[in-house]
Amino acid sequence: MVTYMKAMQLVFAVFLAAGILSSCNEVSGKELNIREYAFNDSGLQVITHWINEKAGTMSVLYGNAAAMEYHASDTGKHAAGESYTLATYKQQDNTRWYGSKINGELQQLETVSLEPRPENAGTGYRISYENRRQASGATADTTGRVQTILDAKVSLFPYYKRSTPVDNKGFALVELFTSEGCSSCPPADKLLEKLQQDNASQPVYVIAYHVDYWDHQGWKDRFSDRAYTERQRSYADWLRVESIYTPQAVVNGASEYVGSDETRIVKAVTSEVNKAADNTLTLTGQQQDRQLTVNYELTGQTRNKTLFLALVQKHAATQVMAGENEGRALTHVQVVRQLLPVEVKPSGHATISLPADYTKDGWELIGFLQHTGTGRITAATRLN
Amino acid sequence: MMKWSTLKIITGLVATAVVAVTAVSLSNEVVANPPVTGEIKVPQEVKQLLERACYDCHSNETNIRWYDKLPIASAIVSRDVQEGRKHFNFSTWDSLSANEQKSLLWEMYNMANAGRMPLPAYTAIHPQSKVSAADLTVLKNYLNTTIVSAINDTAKVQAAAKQRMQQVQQPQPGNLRVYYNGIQHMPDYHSWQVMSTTSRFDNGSMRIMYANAIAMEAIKRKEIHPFPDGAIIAKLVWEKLEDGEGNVRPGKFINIQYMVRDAQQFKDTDGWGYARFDGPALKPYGTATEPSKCASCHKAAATTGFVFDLPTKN
Ligand code: HEC
Ligand code: HEC
Repeated sequence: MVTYMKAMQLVFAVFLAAGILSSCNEVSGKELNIREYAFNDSGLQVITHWINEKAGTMSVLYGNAAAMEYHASDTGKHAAGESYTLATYKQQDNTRWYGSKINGELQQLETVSLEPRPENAGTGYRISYENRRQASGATADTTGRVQTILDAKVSLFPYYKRSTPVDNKGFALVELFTSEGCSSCPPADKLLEKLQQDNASQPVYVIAYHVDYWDHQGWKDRFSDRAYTERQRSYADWLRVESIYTPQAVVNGASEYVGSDETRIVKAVTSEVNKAADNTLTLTGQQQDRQLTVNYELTGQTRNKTLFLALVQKHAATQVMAGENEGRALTHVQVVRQLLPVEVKPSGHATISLPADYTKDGWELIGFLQHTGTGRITAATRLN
Repeated sequence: MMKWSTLKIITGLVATAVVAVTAVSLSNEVVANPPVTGEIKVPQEVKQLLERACYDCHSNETNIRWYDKLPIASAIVSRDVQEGRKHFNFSTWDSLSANEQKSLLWEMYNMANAGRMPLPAYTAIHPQSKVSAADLTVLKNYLNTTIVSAINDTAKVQAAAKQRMQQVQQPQPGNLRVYYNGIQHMPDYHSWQVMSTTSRFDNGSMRIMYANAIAMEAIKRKEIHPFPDGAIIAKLVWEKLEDGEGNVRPGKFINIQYMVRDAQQFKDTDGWGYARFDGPALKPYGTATEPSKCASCHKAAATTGFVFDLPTKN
């Protein structure tokens, strides 16, 4: 009898215990002790990570978009614009799993940025080394640390997206088709100048082609060229425009506008700048007498694409003596004086003979990569 | 005489009734014990511990006490034993792969250490099955003999380099992988925050955990009981390679694993949808029952929303 009673109590205890069990599993009795969020890695991607058992540390190496491009392209050549951040943490036991160690407190952050070396563009880079929180006793061997960071190999990540880096590397190339012989063109020239000024710190490039079909209306534009008219015709095909006209502005080879339509052009420029670019283009150059040798480097898919190098005169002024603009003093910006198509390879060079009126400060070179099937421009940059 | 015998008869009747009632209520067969086909082989003291604390539910040598045969109790015992054996069975241990065996042993320690095994309701009536601190040490010492350290093997280094080269040369396939429970591989994990990194000495791998914005925010606010719907955690696993200079670096890519929070859709697995894709080709791992296996082990982290690798202070 007594034994049976005891058994009943035990059965009861089972329910009691089961009840306690199911209610305390879901909600933790212990206060969660979340570590302060030490490092925000937004905009960066992980390249690799490593563990140093002896030092008891764990490190994560991050890169910006340019650094990721370097690791994806496997060219073995570092380039300006790459930035690396190495976050080193203390390693601690994973209290929720024996068999695992986890990163603990952040010990130090090291950032290495590659900058172009002005006097020797193309080969060397200035390296700035930032060590925000040097752990006591940590190595002061800056060169060694930089080497460790630059030599690290990327880990294999599944479906690593090579063509759309997280960093915004969008750009806008505005190509204006204009003429001194067209009376509605001067406002478009003015707008081009304004676009350039307003976006001085942005990757926005503007260039103006003077077409030749106004040349027989009384005034011959000295900057005009048949080739520029042909180029505009190509855009008429690519963008399905019935006929060619001036002033016409084309943004990144993807959309066209009346060259003085500020609102719509600005909108297109902003939207393009905020898109990620499909390719990256890097230009370096060397002038010798009247010859400019341009070296280029491309990353990303380059099939069916042509590289164009545009030699541009930054400012020009013309007193127009006849035609629609008769009697007006016109000023121009960014006049294309030569347009050179270059067959693309991942890297290569091209030689340009400079005209007699070329000056180093008054002219510049702008390069862009264009898809030959669609006309889309997938990278643009200027030679610094 | 009469008085005495009446009393005796009454007592006798009551006693008979009690015995009869008890006999009728006691189930003769709470659980059957099928044959032992390939028992676990571990050092004697580990074996004794497992026999004492775990065998009742995780082997074919269940020792049914008479009180386990009582009504209600028998139903619970029977359910626990069936369920326990389904999860793993020491009597058919050799039917598991070496990897599965190893992983389970570490899981046993961690389940017992978290106080989840043996089932607390069971230890309440079977106090002899409780796992003490000394028992845990016995188990831990045994596990320590199976620790995997990083390898420094040229063949492995080359295999990893080759895998990396293939990755660089071949553009990745665009079509996304889908797991049995509908979870897709999400290449966007790259842009999420890194939640933590771990070094596993139980299986020789190293990992990076990423948390999407919803998960990260929940962790910062400590609102993880439960995690909000839409929280996603991705984990990438690589083999460990020793680089010869004292650093352990990622070798071959092993897999990517996901936990996707949707309390309703994944209610069978504690509100988390689990998915795992193996190798650079991201082959969906296992079978349709895999997510429930993932969930079983993640119960060891029930107190932190089923997530192990929270960035906590120790
Ligand atoms: C009273 C029966 C019972 C006893 C005794 C018991 N278990 Fe369990 N065990 C279960 C049940 C039921 C499950 C499945 C349900 C769950 O996970 O909560 C389980 C699941 C597990 C799992 C998860 C397996 C998986 O599929 O991932 C592990 C590990 C485990 N038990 C270890 C142990 C260890 C170690 C002991 C002894 C120290 C032990 N159990 C004793 C009943 C028991
Ligand atoms: C044997 C136990 C076990 C099993 C089975 C298991 N996990 Fe885990 N999981 C862990 C542990 C321990 C960690 C944390 C430690 C680590 O990753 O280094 C973890 C971590 C994770 C994480 C990172 C979030 C967290 O909890 O820290 C994800 C995501 C994850 N596992 C997914 C899965 C999926 C998907 C499966 C099934 C295919 C699975 N797990 C099966 C033990 C397990």
